[in-house]
Amino acid sequence: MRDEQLARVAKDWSLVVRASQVIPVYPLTEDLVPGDLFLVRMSIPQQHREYQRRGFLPMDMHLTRLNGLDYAGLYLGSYGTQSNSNTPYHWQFPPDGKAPTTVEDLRLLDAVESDTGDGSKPQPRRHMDPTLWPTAPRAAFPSYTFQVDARGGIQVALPIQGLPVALSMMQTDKAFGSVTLSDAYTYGVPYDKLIRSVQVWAEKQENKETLWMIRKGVMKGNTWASVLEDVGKFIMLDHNRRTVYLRVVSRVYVVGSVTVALINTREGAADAQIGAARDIELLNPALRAPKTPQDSSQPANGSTRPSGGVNDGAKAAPTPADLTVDPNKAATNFQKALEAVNANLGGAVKLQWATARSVALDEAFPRPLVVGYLAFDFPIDKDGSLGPPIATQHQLEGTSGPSRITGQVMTTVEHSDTAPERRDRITKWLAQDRERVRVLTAWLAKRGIDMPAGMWARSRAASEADLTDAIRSLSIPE
Amino acid sequence: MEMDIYEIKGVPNEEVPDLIADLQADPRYISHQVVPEGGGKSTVIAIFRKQSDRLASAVKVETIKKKPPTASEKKPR
Repeated sequence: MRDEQLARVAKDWSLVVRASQVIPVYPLTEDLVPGDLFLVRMSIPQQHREYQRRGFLPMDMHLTRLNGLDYAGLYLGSYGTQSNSNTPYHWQFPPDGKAPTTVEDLRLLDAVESDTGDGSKPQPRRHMDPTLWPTAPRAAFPSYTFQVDARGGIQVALPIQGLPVALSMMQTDKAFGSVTLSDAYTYGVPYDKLIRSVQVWAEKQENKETLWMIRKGVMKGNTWASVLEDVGKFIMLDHNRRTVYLRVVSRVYVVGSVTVALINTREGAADAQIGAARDIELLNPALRAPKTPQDSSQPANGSTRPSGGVNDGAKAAPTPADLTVDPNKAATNFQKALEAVNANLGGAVKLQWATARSVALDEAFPRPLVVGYLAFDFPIDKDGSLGPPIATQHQLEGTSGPSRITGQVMTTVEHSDTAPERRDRITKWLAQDRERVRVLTAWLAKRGIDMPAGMWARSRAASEADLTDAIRSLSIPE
Repeated sequence: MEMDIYEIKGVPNEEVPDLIADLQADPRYISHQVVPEGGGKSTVIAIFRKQSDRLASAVKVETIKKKPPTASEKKPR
């Protein structure tokens, strides 16, 4: 039963992330970056089934990390990539003296809600540690809703401490909730900036041999651990898995905090809502607490939500008496509950707002964590070389259409200096009118050559006889 | 999407802009990357949509009909 519950947490969380077209990471980690290469030991149909069943795909073996990716070139030096070559670590661990410590620093980074005004230490809006993540490319996730019914079992399982805290605060067994991933950022490198590094790594003899041995072990139906004893503990293969893939992470999504909001949906509470709008602002840490019961009759945050006086609260039978009769006492109760939770979590959970029927909690991570990624996969061929790349997301979702990337991994040619006059004649002819690229491409296609025209004309793929033939056939002038 | 990837090594740096312009003029062009090799040369990697037969038929090829050989060009028997 416990195993089922743990698996349920993993799947429900993953479904939240997957809803944003991102492949989930579970458990959450900050140690995943573009350029990470993993071994995937399942065929595509098996990956698809596993993904549907478990909600996420475990990444068994971290083969290598391709460092030195050209983030400055990709982002044209912005996001701090020009002066730092260690992306993303300059966001994660700001250099000495660069970490935002003052209110002004944080405001410049849009990392605080407002000046505290009382001289207290400014708090980042979302994640807890001072970082430069707010200068990274931003991302945003929508909110996801779920149902909670303690009698029939909670309908969603999330690895968020705030969820049970919120439930216990409302002292209800039935609620409607939403979860929002906030303080989100993303960064990555496109395929064309990764492919060369992947090829170089895969073409190294020792890596090629390793991939060859892995595949050979899998094809035999043996654990390749028997071939590579030192790393065998990472892999448990069954006899039906016949394909091995190299997964290349190209983009990651990080999240600094999670907000959980719950609304009590017990029948009594619902009735009270219909009969008389009776939400009572019990506590809002961003606002001053009401001094008298009458003060609490209006939502101090200026929301348009109707709110009745505290006397209306007496009509709400289901809520505990101490939460409805005396708002100040309820606020104290909430605060005490939070303090007890934060004593164990290091102050990670923060009350965002609370009423008699609803509560919202922010749960901040010390630093943003990777919640999902995008990637592409290379099948490992018989000789240990890499096959054609396939978009990971599409193969996991089982979508069809223009999702499968196929074709040769790479056609490599050498630049040629032979017959310079003829090459020069063709390239100048192309340069005078780029529409002629299509003409030469079509001429090549009729001869079974599908290489780009400009590349063909400059490479050894074009022999002197071919060049002469092209000049004559297309009447290319001198 | 079906793709082809091409790589040309040893391109003199002064030729690279012209080569890239040629690549970008191809309707199948998707993306490219230039990797400096040192010594004034670079490797250019280009990603193209896979060649389809439709392309060849869609493009009108300028063909020049050969003129019949003149009497002077005819080989003497």
